Amino acid sequence: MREVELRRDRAGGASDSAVESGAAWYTERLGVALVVVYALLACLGVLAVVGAIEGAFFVGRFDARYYRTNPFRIPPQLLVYAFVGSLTHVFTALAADPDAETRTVLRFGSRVPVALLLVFPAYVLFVSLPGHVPATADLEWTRQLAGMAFLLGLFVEHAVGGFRTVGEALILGRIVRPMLGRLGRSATDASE
Amino acid sequence: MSADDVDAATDDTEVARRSVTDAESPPWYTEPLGVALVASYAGLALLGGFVTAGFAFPSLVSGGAVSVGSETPLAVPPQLFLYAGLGGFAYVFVTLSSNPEADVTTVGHLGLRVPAALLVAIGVFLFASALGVAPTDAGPGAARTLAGSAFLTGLFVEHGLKALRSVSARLYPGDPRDLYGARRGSDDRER
Repeated sequence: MREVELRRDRAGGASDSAVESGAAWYTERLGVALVVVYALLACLGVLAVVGAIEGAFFVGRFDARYYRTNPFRIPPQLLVYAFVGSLTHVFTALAADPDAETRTVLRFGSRVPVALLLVFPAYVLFVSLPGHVPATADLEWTRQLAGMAFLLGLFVEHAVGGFRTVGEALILGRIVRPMLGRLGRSATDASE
Repeated sequence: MSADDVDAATDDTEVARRSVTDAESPPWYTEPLGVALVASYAGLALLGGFVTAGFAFPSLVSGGAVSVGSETPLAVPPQLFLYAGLGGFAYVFVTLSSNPEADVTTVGHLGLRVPAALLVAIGVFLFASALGVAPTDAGPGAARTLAGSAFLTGLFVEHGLKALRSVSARLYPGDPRDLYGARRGSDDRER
């Protein structure tokens, strides 16, 4: 097949990470189905982000003052942004490595649940940092809060690195550090 | 796996650079799939152009529909996706015109950038103030600034991604260089 030869050429020329063996995702039905599912999820996320989906995750209303007075109540909208951010990682990784194997494509998607889970610690960390405590419930703070959740999905390894720093500074550092070290390693593997 | 591998995978421009060297495979216009792909890109770009000109869905581009104000601080204006998509298609056609003999696989790869562009535009919008592209007033110029940054995000996805990456590294406590240096060693060399 022509594509396979082409990919062999590229694997020899440019040191691509995932093309040494196996077929590209678009040659397998499962790979195409996966990417279609990701695309549909991304469409859903975009609809939620523009405020077209009402309900618990509706982004059109956001009362920053409420979250300022209830610091441990986590805005559910952040989950939407983390979800969209992790799908952004899926598509940017796919655009950077378009011949990825189906397994690699599946691994791109494994970030979605990780990002959704990390929203909670990241929010608590974010609102407790000196520069980020909302003095006034202003537009910038609200938007950067959503941006924080978005970047959490896009660059999980940065969040894990930040948590590692905090964990090492805490008195629990000796317990937390090896755990986060393992987590960081697996997150970095997933990003490759 | 070395740091260079990671770099090659994260650098979007690598796709374009490699496409120029694939001279031995047949060009896209000899295969029906390639022609269909380019026709669909052209159709979508044309549709986007019609929408920006106000011929279709005029509510998207006419006057007061642009809400960048504080009443809905979290919602992303849907217009941004229009302009980011147009920027993505602009990249596709610019690359195609500089390398008109590209094969079908390359043409398909180019199209994969468009969804990435649409999604990266969300992050650029949310961090507009940190990235220095936030509109300063509330007039029509403000909406144009946002639309222009969305277009450029679509055109140069990797720039938007790099900017967001540096914002993200500064967001968390600790030295950002630890995040770059630990496993992505070659990022420092690049800059």
